[in-house]
Amino acid sequence: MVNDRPYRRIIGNIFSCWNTSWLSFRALFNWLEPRHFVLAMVATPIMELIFFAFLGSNLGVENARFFLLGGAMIASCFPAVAGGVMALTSERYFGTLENILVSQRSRIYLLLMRAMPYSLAGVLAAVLTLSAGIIALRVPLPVEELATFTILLFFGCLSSALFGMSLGVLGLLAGNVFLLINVAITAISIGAALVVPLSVLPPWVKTISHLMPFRHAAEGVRAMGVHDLDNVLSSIGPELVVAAGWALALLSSFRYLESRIYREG
Amino acid sequence: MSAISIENLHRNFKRRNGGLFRKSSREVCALRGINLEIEQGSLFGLLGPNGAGKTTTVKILTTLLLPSSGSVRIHGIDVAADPRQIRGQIGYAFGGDKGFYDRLSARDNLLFFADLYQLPLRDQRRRVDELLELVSLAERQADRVETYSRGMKQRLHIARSLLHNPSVIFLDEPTNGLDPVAARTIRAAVSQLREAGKTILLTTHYMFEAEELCDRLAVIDHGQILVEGTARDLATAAQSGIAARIETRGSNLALCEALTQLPAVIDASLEFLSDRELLTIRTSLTSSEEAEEVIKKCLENREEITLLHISLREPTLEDSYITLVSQGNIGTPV
Amino acid sequence: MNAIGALRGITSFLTATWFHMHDLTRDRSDFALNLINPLFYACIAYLLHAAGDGKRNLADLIIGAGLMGMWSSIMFGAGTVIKMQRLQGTLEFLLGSPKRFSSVVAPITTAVSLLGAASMLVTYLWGVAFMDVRIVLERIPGMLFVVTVLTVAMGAFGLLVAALFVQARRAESMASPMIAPLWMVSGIMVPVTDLVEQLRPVSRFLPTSWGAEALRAANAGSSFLPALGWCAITGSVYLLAGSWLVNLVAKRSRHNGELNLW
Repeated sequence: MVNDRPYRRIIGNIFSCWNTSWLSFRALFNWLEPRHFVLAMVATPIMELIFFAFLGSNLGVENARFFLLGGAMIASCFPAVAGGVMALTSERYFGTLENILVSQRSRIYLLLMRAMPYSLAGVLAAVLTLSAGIIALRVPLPVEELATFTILLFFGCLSSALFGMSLGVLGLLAGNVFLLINVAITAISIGAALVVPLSVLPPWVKTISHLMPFRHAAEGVRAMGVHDLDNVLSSIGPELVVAAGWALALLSSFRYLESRIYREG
Repeated sequence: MSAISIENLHRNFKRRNGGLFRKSSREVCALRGINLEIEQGSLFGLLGPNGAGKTTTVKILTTLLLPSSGSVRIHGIDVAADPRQIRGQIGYAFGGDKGFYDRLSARDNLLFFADLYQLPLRDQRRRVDELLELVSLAERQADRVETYSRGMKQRLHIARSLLHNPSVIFLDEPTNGLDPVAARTIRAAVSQLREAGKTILLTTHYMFEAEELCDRLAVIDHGQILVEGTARDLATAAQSGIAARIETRGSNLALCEALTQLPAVIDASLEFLSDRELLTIRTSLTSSEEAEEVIKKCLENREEITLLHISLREPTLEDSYITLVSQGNIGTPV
Repeated sequence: MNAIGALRGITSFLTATWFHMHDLTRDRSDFALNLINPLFYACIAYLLHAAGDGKRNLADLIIGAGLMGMWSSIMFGAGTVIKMQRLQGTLEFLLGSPKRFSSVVAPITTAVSLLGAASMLVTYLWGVAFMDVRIVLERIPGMLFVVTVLTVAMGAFGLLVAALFVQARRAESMASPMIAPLWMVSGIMVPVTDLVEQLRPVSRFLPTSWGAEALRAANAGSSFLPALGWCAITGSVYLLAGSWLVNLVAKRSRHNGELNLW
């Protein structure tokens, strides 16, 4: 019974942490209304996916399945990366950043769980985009592949959201967050080979891309239907390492930001 | 002839409510039959609480909003039917720090609006220089507007409203949120405009400002004009008399309620200070002695209350305004 | 309108366009965003070209990437500028000016279109510098002429977008999914002849599809004037339609009041 208490406290803390993160998501995510979410996070990537599939077929690059899966992953980048960036920069916009800075809560508690709702929003956007893309491009995707895709996607979204939040800290120091978001998403779509084949990337881009969110998850996605499931899911490990790296970057950059604000105002 | 003539003006808005799936809309009546005549060259004050209909009235007069019904004329021209002709004759300045291209300088902003108001190219620079001088911004003319204080932006608003030398000017809460010194500068600029013969409609929350500047006033609430006239007319309509400030110990809200039940008391409010209470009572009595007697009599019967100090004063415009708005009086138009 | 009136109108239009250009380029990061996006499109086009069968001309793809940037500038830029006017409180001053609302908005959309043209230029130079696109000096004046006409035509198209943004507060949600179909239908990356038959007539109504054709022709050193003529004609149609629509939504804003303005 004595051991029950710390266990309960941890569970309680996780729940309370989730509640806080969910509240901040509801307060700061700009596309909460289903109509806006579908238009911005689903309709736009579907159209882009169709465009790139059309362009690819015209240029004789890969096949529709390549662009379908890549396009769905790009769809998840927007809620995850843009949401992650805005999870911090919108605090400044609403004037609530100071309240966070003066709170006594641990930064790990305040920041890390925040990535979770944005990751889930990314998964939702990608699954919806993929479903619509399957119909539009008439590319069949077996149910077991869809399940594997969703699992890989979640880890890709998690590292994207943490990456986005790290950029968000930069966004608090720099001016235009939209520039950051656009550059980040396009860099991921090229570097993680979501829209172009990995084989044509210059070697230096291939090297850097190992640090990028989605790079390893995308590798797993591309291996679906070609390699066995164990092989496919083995890409989760490196993706988690990337996510942990960005989490660390987020915490340390936020710490730096705090000290700079206290010093310079 | 009146410079501005408003007859039976109504304006309704459709307001949409509802959650994600069920949306509903309801019609909100912002103006319910407003009648006003504003003389040429006069400074007219429109007073009223938030949401009373002041800004809606100004938006209609400045051609930004169409009336639902009724007629609005400026210099005899129908505002709804001929907005473009009206726009050349009116200027307007809204309170607040928005309304400019913040990344550009004050001079660039004014040059842009001078072109928008169709000033001949050869006159634009001269006019902009004149106005920057008039509102004392000449020295900072090359600075980005985003670096300006709220007071400076407000002066720039006034300069912009004067670019095309309009005969009628609308000022919507021009001193809202300004510090006392900046507000005084704006009031001085408004006085200058009146002296230059402009017809001005000013909306404000500040009674002393209205009292200081305006020739005539109207109080608007719930989309209706409650009373219109001079400050004295408003006091008569509100039947406001002597006001008392009383310092006590032991007062409570029950006392306020008891006081408002008295026929001679219009309104009573209580403010709790650290070691005492401050009671403000507005009466309809014109004699100080009579007012003091009524108040003392009411307090006398309450042993738990100690009277520390009592001061009486003549009613101000603010007293009349509070009386009118709190009672929703529709006074006789003067 | 007499000659002096016309001259005054043109001067006023140019002055206002310069003013908005000045305003749009004061924020360096916004300006950079406008330039960087098509560079990424060019990189994607280059890499896809490298991975593909290599049958298509790389220079045409880079020009196409620049035009993708032009579309993004117009669809986002023209709308965002209107949104900015709303946020900074200048929209009601523009609506309340004695000029026709369309003549107040046209310089704004033209300024945005000029930014699009700048991004096209930068993309082309990027292609020349890093992607082996060959530049033929004697063809440059023709290409610049095409870009000028296309910029004006796209400014006119921007009036339609501006009307959408004056009317609806969250119009960017609607504008954003329209960009990729416009890229596709206007034949900027893939020629119109490769589109499905049902979409081909639609492309003939878009100034960019004619502009892209003229630009590819000018780059190849062949005759570009017929396509450019159609670009100007479609642009004129959008000017008329856009002006009418912008004035209509301005009138509706006065009628609806708080829904659209404040």
